[in-house]
Amino acid sequence: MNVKILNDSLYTTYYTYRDRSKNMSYEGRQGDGVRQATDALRNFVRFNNAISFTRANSARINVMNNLTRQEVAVYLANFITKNANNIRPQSQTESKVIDAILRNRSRGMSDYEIQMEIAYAMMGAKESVLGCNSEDILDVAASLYTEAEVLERDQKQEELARRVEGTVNPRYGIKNLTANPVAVNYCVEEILSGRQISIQNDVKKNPNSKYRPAREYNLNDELMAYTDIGNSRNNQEDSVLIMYHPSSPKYKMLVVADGVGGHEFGDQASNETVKAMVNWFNSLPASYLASGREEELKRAWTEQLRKVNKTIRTKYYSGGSTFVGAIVGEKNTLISSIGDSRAYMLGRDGELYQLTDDDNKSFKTWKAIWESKQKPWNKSQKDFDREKAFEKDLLRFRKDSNVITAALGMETDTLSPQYTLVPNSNYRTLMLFSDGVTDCLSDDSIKAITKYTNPHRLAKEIVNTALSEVSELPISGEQAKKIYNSTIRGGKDNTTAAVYNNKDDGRDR
Amino acid sequence: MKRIISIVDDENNEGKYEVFCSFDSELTGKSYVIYTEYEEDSNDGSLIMHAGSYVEEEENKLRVNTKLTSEEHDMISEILNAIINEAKKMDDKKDKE
Repeated sequence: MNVKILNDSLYTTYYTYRDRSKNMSYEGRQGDGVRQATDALRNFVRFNNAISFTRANSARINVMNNLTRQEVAVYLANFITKNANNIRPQSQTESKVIDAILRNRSRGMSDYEIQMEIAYAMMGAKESVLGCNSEDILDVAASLYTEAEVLERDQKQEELARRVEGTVNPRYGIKNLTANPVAVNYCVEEILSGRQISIQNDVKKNPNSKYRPAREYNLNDELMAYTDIGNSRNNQEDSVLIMYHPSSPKYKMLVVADGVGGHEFGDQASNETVKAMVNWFNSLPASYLASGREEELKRAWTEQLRKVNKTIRTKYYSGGSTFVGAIVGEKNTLISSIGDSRAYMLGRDGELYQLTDDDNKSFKTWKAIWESKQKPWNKSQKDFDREKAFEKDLLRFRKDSNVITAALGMETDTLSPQYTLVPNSNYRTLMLFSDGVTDCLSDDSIKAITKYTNPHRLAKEIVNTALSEVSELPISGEQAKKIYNSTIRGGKDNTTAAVYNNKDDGRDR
Repeated sequence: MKRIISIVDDENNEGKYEVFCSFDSELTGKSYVIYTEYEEDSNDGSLIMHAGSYVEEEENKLRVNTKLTSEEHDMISEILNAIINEAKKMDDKKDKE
């Protein structure tokens, strides 16, 4: 069950009535909101009445779409059973209910049995249970839960106000500060409003603008992203997303999507992709991000990407988008990709690893050759690896390097993204790039920048280097000229990087 | 927690918004509100931020003046950043506990 939705709705109800109560000085004053929130919770469990739950429409719709009364009944039963030992009853009814739970537990009933008995009774299936009236049990559970929840939130709000008032310039004389303690993620804000791309396109169109057609995002020096139109393109088709999961900042998502299919459709396809990812990740239960549930997460992610694929195919018929995404879970990071946007990590051993395969014919051929190749006995491992890296680097000079074999919007309904699972403890830095970066920078350059740049500046540093770097083909000859471009000029394409600076020291806690 | 209110802007347009933060300033003697767009039927509610000084017309209805001096603008930016930073620190602390 999504407890956040339950608590948000409960708190909205409480807040609405508390505010109203403040404006009433006469005798009919209705208390401080706790009673109304308790009643709303009780009515939902007993009568499935979500209307009384909150006066705010969106919260009510949220309750009706996402919570069942059974789930809430079981959750409340669990709460009261688990906390029975620590509750100090404030009334005779509370005393009676708590005593009944403790008595039945001491008689050998398991907590699970007690919870289920209580849950069914709360929903009206029995008039009494454990020697108590069912309505009394529901009243007590709903009021104790409401009090615990609103008290914690109120304390949090007060602490936040205190901290902010103590931080800002005292000259302003800030008083009566109330804040909704939800951090604003400007990256998400701009994605949802469609402004991430349009801001850059508008800057590009304005010859007098003093700004780069670029966007930079930083969430606590932990998640960073930088995207730039580049030097040759007139419109941005890359989209980038960094965000925390709403339940906890320990869970994160990063996405880079590179639109294909030309002006209008390419940018819309990539925006559609990141927008769908924001909404999906926001509604994904946190339980999916626990260690050991990666297969379920993969299935849920695939299903979502299939929906995006279908939407793009239907709405933007000639457009598509590459996709590379990473979800940082409890202990592992799951990476998914379609197309030629790449994920890399700088391992704890100081080495750079590419975590995704390009959906590109020449990359796949290179990989197949090198996977089947045996190291000759007279060659050192170092020389063998160097030769492999040299041939890989040649791929970016190929004239057909941008011909991809898979993209969202261009696949059938059975689309199968690639997945890679990496333990969080294995890396210091995780990076996602559009081909604007990887076409202009060799793996060696990326590794050098990553190792020697302060992580919070890394995304911007990599993009800026990719915009200015000029690479010369390291081989010559007539045959080479037919296959390869002799020079790659930096910034030939939209250029985007998303970075996760893994501050964890890698030790299992 | 969502706090939804009606806001009337400088051009007399009225709409529903979600309050992100409100406070009073002794320096200017005014009350300020930072608020975001709000869509009733959409859970992803877009997060375009607006800010202005306000007077309360009636319960849950504010008349907002979004024309701010550069000093007011600096003050609001500083408070917005402080809220984001402090909220994150509190989340981190809770997470570690």
